[in-house]
Amino acid sequence: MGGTNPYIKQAEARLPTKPYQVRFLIGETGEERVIQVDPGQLPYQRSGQPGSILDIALGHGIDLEHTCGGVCACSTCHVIVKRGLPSCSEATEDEEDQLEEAPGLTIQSRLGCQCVPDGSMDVVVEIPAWNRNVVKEDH
Amino acid sequence: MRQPTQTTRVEAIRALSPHVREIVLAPPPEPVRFRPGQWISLHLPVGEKPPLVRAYTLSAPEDPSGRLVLCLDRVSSGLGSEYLFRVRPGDELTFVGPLGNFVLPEPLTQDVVFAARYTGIMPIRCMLLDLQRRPLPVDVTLVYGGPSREELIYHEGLAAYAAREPRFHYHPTLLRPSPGWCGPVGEELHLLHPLLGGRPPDYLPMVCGIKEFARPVRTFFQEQGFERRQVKVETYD
Repeated sequence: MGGTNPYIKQAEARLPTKPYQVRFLIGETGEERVIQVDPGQLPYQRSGQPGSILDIALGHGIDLEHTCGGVCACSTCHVIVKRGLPSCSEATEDEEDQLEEAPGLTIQSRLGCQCVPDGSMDVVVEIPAWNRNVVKEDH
Repeated sequence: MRQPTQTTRVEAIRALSPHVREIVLAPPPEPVRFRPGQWISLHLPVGEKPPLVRAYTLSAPEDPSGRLVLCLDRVSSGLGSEYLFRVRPGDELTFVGPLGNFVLPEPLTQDVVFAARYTGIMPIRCMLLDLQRRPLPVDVTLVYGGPSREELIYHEGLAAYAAREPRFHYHPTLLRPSPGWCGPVGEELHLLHPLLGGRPPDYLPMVCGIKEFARPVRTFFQEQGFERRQVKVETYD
């Protein structure tokens, strides 16, 4: 696993064309961070879909767990999109499969690595305090 | 919340093909107990904002030495794989894990059908090595496609296992013709249809590879009567 390879087809996502704002509510520390997303700078780094919540978080030093490297193979980057969900790329069945493993699932839950806002509205994202690895290790 | 990490050293490196290498890690400070099919998450000191987190399947089962074996393919402009193609014995790697639930049920009471493409063979190879420690209690079928003969990773070992274990049924294919290859050429689905078409859903289907491969294969199994969630799928892209 890991990274990308020559056979990959990336999921379709519409990237923003104008600046917008993402407000991160960090459950573990109670901290809030407001990020101005500049479409011209995307992707900010190399994990998760370009322009995804994970990309934006990691690109600004916000600690969002992503044990699989941001390839939709675990649920550790689970976030709750509290505002702006209609502007985000639609969840695929693969994302929904992974989300089912996340604790505290809500109707606004997404995987940070797959959720790409299109910039048509500002977004508020909660990183749950209990965000943790939930893959089964029952052996 | 950060997962606990640990650090160990690269002990050996072996090229399995022009694009795939195996990395043997020395026993880490805390022994890693894992089930075949699981993976670890490497924290690599590369990228604009290190660590770069990348997941790699453990391609050999637990052994008493405590060593861990990873396998990876080289990806052009892939920061993680480029770094791991530069590491040398003695270099340190930091990781989290084991992780993942692409594992066989215990006990194994149902026939298993594996479908894999290219490096998707890694978790399945790990399971098969573990299964080889005793006679198979069920029939196990593997349909496995590679991009070329030299990139059909672990083919010799899999063929040898099939030759000595009557309950292991191995069906390799190449995605395109390759010099010296006399076996099937074409996508894995071309083998799955005649093998399993019309068989009742009385086995466990497990699929590993990129989504472009795994999605239509899962659909095939659904057409055979499985519910979507009954098809165990592991993808990595």
